[in-house]
Amino acid sequence: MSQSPSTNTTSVAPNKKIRCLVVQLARLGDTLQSLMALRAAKQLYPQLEIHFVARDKFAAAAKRVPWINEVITLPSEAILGPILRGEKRDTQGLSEVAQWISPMIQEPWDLVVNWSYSEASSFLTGLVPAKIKLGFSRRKDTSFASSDGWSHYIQAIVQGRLEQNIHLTDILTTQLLTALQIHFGEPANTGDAPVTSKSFFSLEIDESKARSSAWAQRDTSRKWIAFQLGTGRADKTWDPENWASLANEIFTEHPEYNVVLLGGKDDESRAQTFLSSLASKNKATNRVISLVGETSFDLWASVVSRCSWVFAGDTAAIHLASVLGTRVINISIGPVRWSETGPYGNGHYVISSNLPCTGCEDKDTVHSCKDTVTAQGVFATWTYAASEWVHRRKISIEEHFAEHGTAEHLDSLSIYRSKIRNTDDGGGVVYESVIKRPLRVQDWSAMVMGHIARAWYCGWVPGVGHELARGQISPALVQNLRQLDETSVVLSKVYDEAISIAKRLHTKSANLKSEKIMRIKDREELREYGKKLIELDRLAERLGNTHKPLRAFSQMSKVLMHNLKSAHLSELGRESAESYKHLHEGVNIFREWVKHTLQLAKPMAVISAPAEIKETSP
Amino acid sequence: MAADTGLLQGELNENPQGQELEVEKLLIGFLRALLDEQDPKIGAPLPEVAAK
Repeated sequence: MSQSPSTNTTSVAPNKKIRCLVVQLARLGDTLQSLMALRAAKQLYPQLEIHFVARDKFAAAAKRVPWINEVITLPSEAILGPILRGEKRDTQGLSEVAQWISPMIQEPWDLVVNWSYSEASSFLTGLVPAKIKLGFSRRKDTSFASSDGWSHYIQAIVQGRLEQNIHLTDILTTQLLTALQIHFGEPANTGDAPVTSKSFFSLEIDESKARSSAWAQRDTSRKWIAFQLGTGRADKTWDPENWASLANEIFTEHPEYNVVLLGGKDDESRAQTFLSSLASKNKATNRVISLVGETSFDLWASVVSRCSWVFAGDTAAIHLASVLGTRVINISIGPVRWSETGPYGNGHYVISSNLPCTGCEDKDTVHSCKDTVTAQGVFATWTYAASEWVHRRKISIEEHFAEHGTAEHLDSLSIYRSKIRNTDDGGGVVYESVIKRPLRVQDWSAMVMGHIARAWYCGWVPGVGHELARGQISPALVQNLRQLDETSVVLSKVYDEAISIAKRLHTKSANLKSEKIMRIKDREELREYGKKLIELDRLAERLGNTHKPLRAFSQMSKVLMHNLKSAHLSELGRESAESYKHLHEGVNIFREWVKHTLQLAKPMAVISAPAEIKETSP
Repeated sequence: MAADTGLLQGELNENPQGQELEVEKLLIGFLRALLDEQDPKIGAPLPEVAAK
């Protein structure tokens, strides 16, 4: 994503190393997204010396990246296992944790980037000495702190489960590049080099083992599709019978394709069900190779890089395929925020349910979205995606489904295609709806929130409504926006008033000789300001509770107020005023979007073509 | 904008050696949080969002 912070920057000697510790204690998918962001930074700042912290279980990918200087693995099982099994008390594990951390605290880092966004990682980041820290950390009193804008955004909006449309890889990339630019100067290199490539990893394949594997003996005259059967959670996993129906469709219509099954040990029973189900459809299971349960990272990455397509749910496989430049059909089931964690790059497809799902709304019920995303729908989407080079997307997906006799499957689906925006359009990945449908208010909110975030943290942003077309605006959206128009005016006034009161609080307390001993009248006045600010915050929260698209501001306000840094009242007043100004600017951008969308929805006067002037003979 | 308020810049650590931090409390916090984290994922909601 393009970024140009407005603070002054200096050039830095390109040979001076920047010692950077990256903390990624989340899962493999998050590690892969972090690696893409790091690759972008390393291309621009080759002097970055990257030390990467990961759980041992998820460290394999980072270990295969040649430009990472060191991978520090957290032996989770060795430290936590005995405590979880009750063999040790948690205090006994402390010395092991201290020993593990010890090498990381010997010398201050130039930069510590905590990309785990978790409670545990904030303690680790708090412990490690560094000149600059990004992400969640701990203050001196050990209370929780997130110190930079993008971390506030992740805490308030992403983890607050509010609508927004910036991909996590773009957030991480922009966060790091902005900090590097501010603290270490302009990059030595310029470049729009892609962050994905087939040679992203230096894989170590055991040749003797590899030669005897089913994959090595595959029919190389066929094209191969990888099915990643499972995900980390049952509610996000498509049933094996659906996968078998999909394979059946592919084998019937496309003799040139075979399928390789991927998955861990947990997926072995799924693979068995898949194979039995496929056999019951009289389909030759010899067109399937199962590597389920036997895929080391190296073999897994090697297979994914050699496949034409990867079909997968919300799992690390989509990030691995993205990194390696293999096209993805992402079958997005269950409560997935695919606009943040979907496949990264051009030409990937995301398929999800378009119908309300009781399971996604209420954890205790069954996910109907598993069945509304049908094998026929996924197959028709794939045939559309795989033949793009022929039809060049000049035929619509609606026409394509109709041609294949699967039109009835389309209504229940949402289908999106990923695209990397041009730098001039703001950069980053965007998912465009392939089906022509009006925007829902939540889609509109996600666009607006993404735009506000880029205005807040990138310093430059394309014009309001840049990616909004008239045809996307429905009467229902207009009705919603009319209500939001009125409420956002009120919210803007709330923050305007809050700025003014916070400034008065600052001025008043700055003029006091002491913040502890003061006249009763002064104390009462300060209390009044404090009470008034609390009332305004509550009002903003109520407005957000009534109108969900505005909830982002009260959520953001809580995070900003939690992260005020000063211990002195006058400084807190100044910082609060700055925070309210930040929110006020955001609300004003929101209002511009409302205004622009309502304007765009107005009927246009059509100028009729001038009547043809006929030449008449004199 | 955030860039003007320093929000973009990350935390400038006043105490690079970290001596004043309550190391033991942080270590205990780290270990206990590791034990609590069932599904460590970037988007997973955080338990603690409180105003100052």
